[in-house]
Amino acid sequence: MRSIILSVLLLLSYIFGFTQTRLLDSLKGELKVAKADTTKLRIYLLLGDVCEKRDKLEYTEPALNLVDKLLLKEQNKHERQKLIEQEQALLYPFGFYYRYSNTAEWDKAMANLQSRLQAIERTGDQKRAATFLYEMARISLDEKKDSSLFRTYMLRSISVAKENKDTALIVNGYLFMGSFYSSAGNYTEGLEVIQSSISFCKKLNYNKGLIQSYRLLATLYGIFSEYDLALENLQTALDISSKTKDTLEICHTLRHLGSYYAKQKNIKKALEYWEQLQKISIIYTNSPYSTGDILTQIGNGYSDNNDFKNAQLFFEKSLHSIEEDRNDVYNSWRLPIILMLLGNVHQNQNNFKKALDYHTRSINLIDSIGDPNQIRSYILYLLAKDYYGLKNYIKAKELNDNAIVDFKRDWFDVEGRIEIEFLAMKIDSARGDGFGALSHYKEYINLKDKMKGDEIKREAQKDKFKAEQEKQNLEQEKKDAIAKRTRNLQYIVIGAFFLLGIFLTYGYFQKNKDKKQIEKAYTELKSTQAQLIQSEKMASLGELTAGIAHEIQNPLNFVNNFSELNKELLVEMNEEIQKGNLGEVKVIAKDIYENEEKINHHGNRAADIVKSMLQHSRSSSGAKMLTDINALADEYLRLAYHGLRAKDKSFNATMDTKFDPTLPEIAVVSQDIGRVLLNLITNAFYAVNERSKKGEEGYIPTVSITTKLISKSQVPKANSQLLIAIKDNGSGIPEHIKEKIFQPFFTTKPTGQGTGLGLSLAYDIVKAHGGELNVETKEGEGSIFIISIPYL
Amino acid sequence: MKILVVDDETDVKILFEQRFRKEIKTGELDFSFAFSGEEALEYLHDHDSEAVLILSDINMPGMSGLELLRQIKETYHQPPPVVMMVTAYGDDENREIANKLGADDFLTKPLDFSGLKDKLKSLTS
Repeated sequence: MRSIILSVLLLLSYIFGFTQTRLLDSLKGELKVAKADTTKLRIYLLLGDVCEKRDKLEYTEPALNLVDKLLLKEQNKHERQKLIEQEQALLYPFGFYYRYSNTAEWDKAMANLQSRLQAIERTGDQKRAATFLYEMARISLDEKKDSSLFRTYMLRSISVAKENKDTALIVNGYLFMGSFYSSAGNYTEGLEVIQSSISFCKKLNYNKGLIQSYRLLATLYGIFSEYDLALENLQTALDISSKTKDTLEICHTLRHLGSYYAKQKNIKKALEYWEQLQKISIIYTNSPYSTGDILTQIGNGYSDNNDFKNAQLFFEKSLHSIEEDRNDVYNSWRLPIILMLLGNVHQNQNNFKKALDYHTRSINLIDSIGDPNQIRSYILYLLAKDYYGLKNYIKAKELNDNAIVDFKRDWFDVEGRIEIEFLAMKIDSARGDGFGALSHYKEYINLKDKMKGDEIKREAQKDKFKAEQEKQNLEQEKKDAIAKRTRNLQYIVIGAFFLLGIFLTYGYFQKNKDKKQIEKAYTELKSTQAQLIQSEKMASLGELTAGIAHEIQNPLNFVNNFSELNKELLVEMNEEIQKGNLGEVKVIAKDIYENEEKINHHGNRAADIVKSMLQHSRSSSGAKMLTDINALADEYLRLAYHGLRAKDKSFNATMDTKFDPTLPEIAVVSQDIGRVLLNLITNAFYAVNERSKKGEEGYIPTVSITTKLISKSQVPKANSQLLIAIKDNGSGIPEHIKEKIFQPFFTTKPTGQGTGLGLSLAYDIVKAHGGELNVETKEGEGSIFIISIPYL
Repeated sequence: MKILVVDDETDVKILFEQRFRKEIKTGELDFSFAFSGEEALEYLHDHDSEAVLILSDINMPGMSGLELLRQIKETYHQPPPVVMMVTAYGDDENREIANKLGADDFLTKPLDFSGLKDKLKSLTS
């Protein structure tokens, strides 16, 4: 009745351009002259519908008072029921009006309801009291998010309903609690309460309650991913509702079945059920599902399956049907939702402009008519996403920040918040705000961890319950099934372990070898260090030990990191073995193997560095002997050349020697000088090889060694110098590098190809012989390294 | 979130890509790599404001990490990327210089990846 009057009024206001204020004024005028309570109640209700959101409370209170007054007088059972329902409907948005106020306002509201409740209880009308308690429970949950208050009131409602033998109310109570537990993830309690409801309904032959209970049970199972059980219960619900010809319940169940299949990505079956629902709804005028609803459901089904084109089609049909059907007042609440869904489907197709359009229309509508479905905060987030897609990061950030504030204050929806923080991170990232991105990333990770933790807790609870159940009922059956599976799994596991065994053994031995190498080198190094502290070379070695630590850190870093990585991978591999994914196991094994190669490689690097260092420190412990430098040089030249040829078959260079035949033997540590020569010659060959790779026309890589005696007097050996020059026609050494080449660990070679110690070692050796090592170089032409050692 | 890692060791790239493979898959993190200070500057120039976090080694041939830090802090400040330097333990001199140049944080070598994950969580604005 009221909806028709409202529609007429709205139609009138549309036709005659009545403004809201004029409507209100006219109603207020009517109120003044109204005599009967029933008339006044009707007017208050209309005023509540028409006025501004914030003024609704003003009209709800007197309406409630009037209902109360009328109930005190009314004797007719039928009329009383209508009035009780009226009261319930008035309470429906009651808490909502206090929602955005502060706690003081909320407490005032609850006190208000409490006093009304006490008055009702005094009248002894248990039905009314149970209904009132039910509403207070709902308000506590929906508006105040107070779950313990919810439970208190709900349990009271159920117990009063039990005293009054009000079956429908009892079952409603059970089911509300069951649904609360389900969405809170309390598997055990949810199951318990729903099963109580089922047995209660069976006992009293209350079929409607039974159907609703089975449906709720299906929902619970769905939440915990037990899809077979969910379907089973839905089928049961459908059977009973068909048998009892309860069309309303048939409709609800068909919708649930449609949604179930949609979630299972079985869009074909989902559509089957929804089409059935549509057929019935056309015939059944009291169907709770309008054509718009069903079309929206179908659209959702397609959207969940990522078929956005079809989703869009159905959403548009739904919008069309909603806009056409002006008789259904509830369509005004449906409109923002369908607009939001259309926005989403465009967003998913990256049509951000269209998405923005729809989302804006949706939120504007909400702001004018109200947000009973509480989607406003979510739409802010969707708008932010649209602006992000349009690369308007300023607007995106503004809207998303508002969404964050709302979400924090309102219902703590972890999944929703995770999405929002993720977007916030992307927005700040796009804006280049490192700190903002990181702080949102931190939130995102915390929320994800929390959700994972909650999920784990939920699963643990469920698992515990299930384990107990199975032990009692299905022991034998499970034993057989497990035995069979284990046998198959064993074959897979044996195979995988065999592979694993090979890699582990190899890796273990390699790692052990590396570890031993490094440990051994470190111990030797430590003791050598102690010895060398006495020597005069300690000045440079002091720097060197700090340098060694530095240098070895690098390969050690890799050994540690790659082996930690392999630990992780082995855990993953174990999980895959459990699941029997042999393919995945192979992939992971390959990664592990490659990582072990890296560990080996870096381990060897570290060992090489230490070896090099030890050579350096040992160089002073040799004894000097008379040596033929020409022969030495020649020998090392050939050694170097053949050594390089062995490594690189493409290597080729011309060797040139100019040995001074008058060169007398000189007292040197031949090993050390040999090392110097080897190093310089190898460097020379490297330089010309590098240059030859450039492919210059007519370039002939040439390395030449010259020895010369420089005497300052006629007496041989007195005040004479031995000169050894190693020349190359490589690319030469750039000026800024020239100063660094004798520094320990400096190298221009790629990592792992040179320790950078060669030249510094050479320098020190020559110095130790009382001589000098110099370089002359010209970029583009080549270099000459000159060793000069005095004859003593 | 885009992160630029600067280190002359090429194996660092493989390490990061493996240690953060889950985060890379979900799109939470996106890594780019430069193997020298010069390469890093080139990258920053070509991808303006893309990387919001830069992890840089200090000891590198050519342009050192400190020089890179100085240039980044001078050139990119609206809004500034976060720069964390990777240093060897006990490298006090380098730490001080890095601090003066405006480094936002330090990581030590050998690189502790779980420590890095915690750092990312604990850094607040």
